[in-house]
Amino acid sequence: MTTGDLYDLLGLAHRATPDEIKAAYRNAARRFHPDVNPHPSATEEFKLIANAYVILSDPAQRTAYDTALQKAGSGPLVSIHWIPSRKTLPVQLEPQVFYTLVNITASLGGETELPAPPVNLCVVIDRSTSMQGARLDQVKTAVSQVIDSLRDNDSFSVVAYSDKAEVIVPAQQGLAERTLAKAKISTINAGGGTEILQGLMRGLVELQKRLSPSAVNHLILLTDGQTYGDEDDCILLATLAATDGIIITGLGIGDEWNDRFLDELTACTGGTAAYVNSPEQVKTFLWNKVRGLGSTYAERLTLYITPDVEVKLISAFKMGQEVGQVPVDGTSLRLGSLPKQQGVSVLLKFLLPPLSAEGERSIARLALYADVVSLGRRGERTTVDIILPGLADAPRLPPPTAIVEALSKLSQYNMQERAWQEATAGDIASATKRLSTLGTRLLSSGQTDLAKAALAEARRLEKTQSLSEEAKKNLKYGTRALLLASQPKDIQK
Amino acid sequence: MITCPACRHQEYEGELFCSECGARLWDSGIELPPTVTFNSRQLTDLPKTANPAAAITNLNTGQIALMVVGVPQPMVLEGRVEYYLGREVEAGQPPDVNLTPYGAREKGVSRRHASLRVDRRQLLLMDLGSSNGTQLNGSPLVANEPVRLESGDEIRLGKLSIRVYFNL
Repeated sequence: MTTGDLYDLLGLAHRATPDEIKAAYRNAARRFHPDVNPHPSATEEFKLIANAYVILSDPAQRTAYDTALQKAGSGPLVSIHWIPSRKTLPVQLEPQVFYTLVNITASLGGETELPAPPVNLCVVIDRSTSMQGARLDQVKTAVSQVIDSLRDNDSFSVVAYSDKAEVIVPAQQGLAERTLAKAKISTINAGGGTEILQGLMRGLVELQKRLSPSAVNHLILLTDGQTYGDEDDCILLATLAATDGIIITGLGIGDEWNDRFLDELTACTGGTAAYVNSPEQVKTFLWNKVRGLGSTYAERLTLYITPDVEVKLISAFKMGQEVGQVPVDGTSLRLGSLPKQQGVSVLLKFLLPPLSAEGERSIARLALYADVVSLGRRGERTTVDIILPGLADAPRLPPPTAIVEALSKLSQYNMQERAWQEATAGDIASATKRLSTLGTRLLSSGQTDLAKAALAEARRLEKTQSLSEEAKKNLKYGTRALLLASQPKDIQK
Repeated sequence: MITCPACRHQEYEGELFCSECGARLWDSGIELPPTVTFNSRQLTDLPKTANPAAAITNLNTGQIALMVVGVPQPMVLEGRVEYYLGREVEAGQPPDVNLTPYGAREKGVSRRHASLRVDRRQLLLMDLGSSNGTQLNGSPLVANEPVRLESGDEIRLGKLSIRVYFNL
């Protein structure tokens, strides 16, 4: 399903003159402007038209768009390639595990210049007492920097929360009043508890004001503490936000926050959570994140996986610029956004039933939906079938390097997860043993620092019989970071 | 089902890493040179040196020498990443380093007793869950946990003592 390009939105031919574009925009605006037309879908339509007009009325952006459109031709705008863990499936009477690494890339990546999509961003800042000092100061500086980097068609808002939330900078476009916004941010003071629900709710309301299906709608949640009792409501709210096309990124500062909760909250929108242990890192994180949003190729990547009869999808893990477990209990996987330059990968694990005969064995159909915001195309669909030949004497070939690399790191990540679960359940002996095994695995894969951390924590755990939150987060996000896409090749050279 | 070589955990066919201990479950024999199996006959064919200790200090890069205590001739290993130490099963396949000629059975060496692994210029020794255990310089090892060796260390498989020298 393709909803057409920007010209279709304005009812124009591709050769329209600037005057025709202007006239068509005026005409469309008269039909759909929310002040004129009260129908709820009119507002949405108008936002699409307005965004299309921004690109088509600017000669430079229009040229870039036209070139990209030409290159795209009628082919899919988003490509899927999958790498299987084995090329043939052995015929056998017991179930077997099968992995596949699904790489999603922009068909028009690389040199093609694309218009930058408008960004609708809300930053939600924790201002609880524990943020006092360096943490809040760094966050404030970082947010002010973000304001300076915004472009004219971006929308921006800031919410601060403790046990109640307050809109510091209401959603605004164009940011004519950057100085005022920055002045307001500098007045944020620390004080109070941490109730994430409050902040999340106000933040989402601000985002809704400027919500557009052709924009990157994103909420960044900063926190340094635990929220109590409102976790389930937060998740529910995030799920609703996801259906509106909002992605949430979480940033935990220090060691006190609840990593499991923040992972879950962000994962259900297709976003991820990150960890910084020193306030100075907030700036880099925010800066990179916001820059990434501005170079988005496609938003709201949703992968529908339909396994064949008796095939079970066991787990999914997202890799690339962002890394995290993707919940597989629903019908679809939310994978967040696709950057222009770098693909998104997801490692899928399937359990296959016994294979009784040779021949083609279909495992699952993958259908990817994405809004290619950089080209104003929504609901782009790409489909692939995962099919492998079954053979009675399937050769035992070593699995492809890409899968081995991903899985060896993922198995290290999973080991530390199991260790924490065991430690939390009171099984200190198992947790200690697992951490020291993990240490040796990390050592043999060359991760000396993480290995030391794992071994030190194993010793500490044995002595004190209790977990250290700092070590836990270090190892969790450390082993997870190993799964981040490696630096582009030219940097290594 | 497949069994993890390190911790004996059962995994589904097709699994690549043990979910219990993270050990690799598939055989990556590809990039490595073919298996070299040493047995006592070959060892006697090796050029005799007047002073075996001298040979040991002059190992080429990548070589590992095993000196079974009481046997003057070292076993020199090279060309692989991992070596399994043990004794021959009747009519079965010998391990990479077959200790049967050194009275391994009498001295309580298991068939798959321990492994030596080369890892970034380090040599790691791991007990593979042997019946009578492995010791490093007199202290017993925990099964399936690799430890780093220094050249000249003495290891004991059951009651069989071996000095390990290497130049990696």
